[in-house]
Amino acid sequence: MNSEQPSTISSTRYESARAAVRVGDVVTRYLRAGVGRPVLLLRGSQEPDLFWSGLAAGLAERVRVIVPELSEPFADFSGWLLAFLEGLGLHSVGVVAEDAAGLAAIAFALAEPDRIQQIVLLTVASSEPADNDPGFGEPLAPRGLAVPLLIVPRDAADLLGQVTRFLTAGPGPASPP
Amino acid sequence: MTTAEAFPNTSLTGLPVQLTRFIGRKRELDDLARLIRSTRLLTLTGGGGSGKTRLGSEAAVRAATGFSRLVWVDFGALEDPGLVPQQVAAAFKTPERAEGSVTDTLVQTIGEQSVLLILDNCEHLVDACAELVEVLLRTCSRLAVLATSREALGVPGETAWLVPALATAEAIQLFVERAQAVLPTFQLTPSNEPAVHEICRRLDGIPLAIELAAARVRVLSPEQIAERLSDAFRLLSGGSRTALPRHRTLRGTMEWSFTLLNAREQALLGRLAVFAGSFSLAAAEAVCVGGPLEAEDILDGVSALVDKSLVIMETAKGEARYRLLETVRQYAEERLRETGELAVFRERHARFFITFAEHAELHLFGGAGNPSWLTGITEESGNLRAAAAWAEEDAGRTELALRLGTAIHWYWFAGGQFQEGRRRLEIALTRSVEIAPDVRGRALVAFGMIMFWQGDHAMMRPPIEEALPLLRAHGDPWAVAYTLTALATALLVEGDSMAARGPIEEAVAHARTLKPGIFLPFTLYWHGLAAQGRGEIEAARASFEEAIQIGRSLGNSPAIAHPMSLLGRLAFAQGRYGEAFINYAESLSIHLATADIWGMGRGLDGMAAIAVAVGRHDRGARLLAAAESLRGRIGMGTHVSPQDLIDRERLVASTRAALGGRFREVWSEGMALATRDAVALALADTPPETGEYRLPPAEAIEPVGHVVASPTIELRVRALGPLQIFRGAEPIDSAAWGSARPRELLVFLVMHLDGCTKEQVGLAFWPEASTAQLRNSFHVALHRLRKALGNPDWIGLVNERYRLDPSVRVEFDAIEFEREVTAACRALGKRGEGAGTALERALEWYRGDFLDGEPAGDWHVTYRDNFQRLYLEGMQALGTWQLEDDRLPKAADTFRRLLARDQLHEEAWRLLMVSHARMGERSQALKLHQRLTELLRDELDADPDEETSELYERLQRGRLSENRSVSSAVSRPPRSVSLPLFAPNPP
Repeated sequence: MNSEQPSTISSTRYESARAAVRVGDVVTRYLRAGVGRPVLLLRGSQEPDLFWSGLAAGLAERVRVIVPELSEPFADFSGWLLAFLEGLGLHSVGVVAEDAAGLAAIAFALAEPDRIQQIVLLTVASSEPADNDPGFGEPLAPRGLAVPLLIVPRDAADLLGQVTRFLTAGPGPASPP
Repeated sequence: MTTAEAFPNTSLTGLPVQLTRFIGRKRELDDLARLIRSTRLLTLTGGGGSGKTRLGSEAAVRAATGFSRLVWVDFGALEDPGLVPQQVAAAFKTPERAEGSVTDTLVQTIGEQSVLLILDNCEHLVDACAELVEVLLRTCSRLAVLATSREALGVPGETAWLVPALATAEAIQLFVERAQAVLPTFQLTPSNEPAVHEICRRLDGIPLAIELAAARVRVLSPEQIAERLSDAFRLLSGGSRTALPRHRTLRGTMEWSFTLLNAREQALLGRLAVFAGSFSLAAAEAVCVGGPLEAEDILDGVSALVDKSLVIMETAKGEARYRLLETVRQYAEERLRETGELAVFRERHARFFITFAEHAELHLFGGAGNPSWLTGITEESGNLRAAAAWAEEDAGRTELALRLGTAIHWYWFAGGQFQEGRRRLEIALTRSVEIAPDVRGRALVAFGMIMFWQGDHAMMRPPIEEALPLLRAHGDPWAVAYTLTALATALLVEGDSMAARGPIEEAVAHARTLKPGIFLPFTLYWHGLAAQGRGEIEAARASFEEAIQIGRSLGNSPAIAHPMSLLGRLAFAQGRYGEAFINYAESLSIHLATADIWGMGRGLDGMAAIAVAVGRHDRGARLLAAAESLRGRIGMGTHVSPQDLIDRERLVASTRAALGGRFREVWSEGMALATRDAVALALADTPPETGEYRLPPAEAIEPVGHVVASPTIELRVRALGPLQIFRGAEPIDSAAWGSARPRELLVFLVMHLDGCTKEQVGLAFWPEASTAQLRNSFHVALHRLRKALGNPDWIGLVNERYRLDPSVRVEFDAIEFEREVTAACRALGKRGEGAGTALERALEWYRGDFLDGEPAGDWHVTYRDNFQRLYLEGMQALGTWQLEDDRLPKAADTFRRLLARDQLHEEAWRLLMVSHARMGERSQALKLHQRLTELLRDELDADPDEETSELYERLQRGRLSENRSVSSAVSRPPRSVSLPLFAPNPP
């Protein structure tokens, strides 16, 4: 069945759920909310943060948000992420990340381009970006990276709208060929 | 040793049969064993062919001892996410109910059982599975779920566990075992070991890929396999020497394996993808021929595919069936789609199974009569659903959808899949397309029958009435007769046995002209019921006996057991308990053997009635409770007429009265009995000696009176028996009360219509409470009571006294009972006209003891005893009047009912003896004396009193029947009621 057809699904699938993935001896806990395309939220820190919980709740209206609890520091981020995706049974996902997690996500996308749909990189809150500042808020396609990239400051106007539009543009995640 | 033998204490349902040995994975199994115990939802994830199912089944079997039940559900063949709960319910053998969702029914079935539920192949139904699992885990606290799915379910508390690749040593071991299966001489040697090692490495330790590769050793050496795989993978990865990504390895292996098939095998594998679940060779031969494939190629082709591990063979009862692993099936379906033939073969598949179903229809009629056909069609359930889904896709196929639904409606009955059947027929019946009238007519009848099975009796008649003219004009005699029988059924369950007569007699006449079969006994069953309903006992008996005789000659067990049970019911109604017992016993034994739950429910009720009639209330209550619990589980009524419901209520009331305080305990023991144990209890007895007691003739069992509301009454309280409270005609349901106290307060207030103070209530309700506690408790109860009544003004406070507003028109059964019984007894003493009948009616108020079953305070005990005394005296007066009036069977019945409430009432025993003696049944009377003597000795360690001994002597001398004056010796005018129980009714 098509997981993007919420009409047949009761409201429980929209509520957030805590679950875990176990690969070998590594257990990763995560929070899931919403239905639709899977999107990973990767935070640099595990401190409670209203910004992130608000973003997760907002995104969950349109996509399936998955927020893993990352252990710090990332010894082998790429290995962990691959195992996490395999354990969830997801072939490819969108990623919203910041700080070190953002860079790690880009590194992963360079190695495994068909497993990442898009990357949204959140930057620290900026003061007003100059109008001619290139890249902020515009989807990018940097050479060498086969994954669309969006860089937005945390305090951008209509952040949620921008991120949602970017993540839901284009075809849905491909299943493994 | 089979799995089932290994775990005698765990019931295993639906576990897949494994024909090959499970290899390695010790570490994983240990890990899983621990996780199954500590996690409520464990999902084995991993790509296709990674061995989720196999590992899951192995882990489940090892974990079995920790659970009382293991249930396996395979979703591989299911496409419709809406049927996920149905599929699980079917695995639990839980028939659906008319009301409530299938999920609710499942929740009730599982309840607090410790169950390990295994959901296999969830990936294409992730959301539907997640939703169901979440509800089940939340409500069934001892349930654990083990799922296999390519994707995690994402349910709270889930642990997704990635099935790892096989370790190298295990992979090699698997390769060798599977290679030996096709080439027994295959050995791992120093020369081929590097190649095998290389194959396993290339195949990433994916079990299915290794099996597909190993299956080729008959033709290719391991070195050749390694080389060709390598070439194939280089092709797939666009010439690069880097390893294929893991998720493409299996795909690559399947492609490689596919290219090694010859054209006929390739075509066949693609076509086999249209089967859902397993298939028989005959079905494959019928569906897959065409183009390069002749029918005789199919067997060779299938067995070649089995050799190559692309098709799995299973044998059940010596019959071979085949299936494709889900991963292989998906691949094969793609290949078929590429050839552009998918639609052609899906249609051929659907048409084949529609024809198959129509061929099975007559064999399935009546449900479980033909076990081999039932098993046969159950094996095809996945294919039948696929055919139904195909027929629903396009309005142009509606006629086929209706034909299929009609053909399998008895199969739906046997499996309890009512909602699915009803929904499918409803979809097809409401499509506005031209349908042949006979097809539509027959589908309407099937639709009506499903409603009957669901207990939706009010909805059943319209479709059948619509069908009748269609089939009279266009149908065959069989269809007309079936429709007439269904119409009669509808009328009978509505209670109209007169109106049922015409249709059922016509149906029987039609049925007699048909080829002998199950249909005539089916019709005779309802014919007999209709006759009995009209009081034509001999006609009823003849119908049942004929039905049984035909059933025996056909060897069709339901056709024997169902009418047999009605024969028992008939014998019982005439007071021939011994005969009734024997009939019910035979019927129950058959129903037990065929696992006919509906039939067992009827049999238990019948046996309970006999037990109660012969005074064995303990046994009666137990069997009644067991039948009740069984009905709760299957979600169906088992009555065939409204009278059954009334009789059952009577039986429950009389066991409740007889057992008093013990009733609750006995009842819950009965409710807890497993169906099999309940039937064993019912059968483990000897038939009562026929005629020892005589049942009230059918007309004496009147409907429970006084429920019909007269419009002027606003509040109706029925406290004699289980407490019932009505606003107007509407019962106030128990949920509205919150607890029992508010109800009790209402009863207290209607018994003190002048009002009472808070302290009076407190003394009666909370004798040990402090003033503060009392105030609190009182107001909580009062608040709830007002809310439940929905009219706060009804209970007012006047001069510190709480009272029911005098303008509210109240009917309170205890007051009516007392007033009417006292008045009637007085009138009877004066030989007043109609006094006996008035007394009979007055006594009907008494459904049971005052506030029976209510956790009411001690205050009610005196009242309860007084009402009971009044009832017993009333009964005695009534019986005596009937005796003097020479209505001897009635009198005997009355005394026996009296004894059911007070078995040590010696005077009632004497009067019963006199009644029998007057009927000329002297030996019966002497037997009664014998029973009384034993009873007194057992219970009181006493002898019968002088008066009884005197009576006994006269009975022995046989002089009683001539001496009519004797009745005056034992009858005297009843005492008037001892206590004024109530304050006078306010004007």
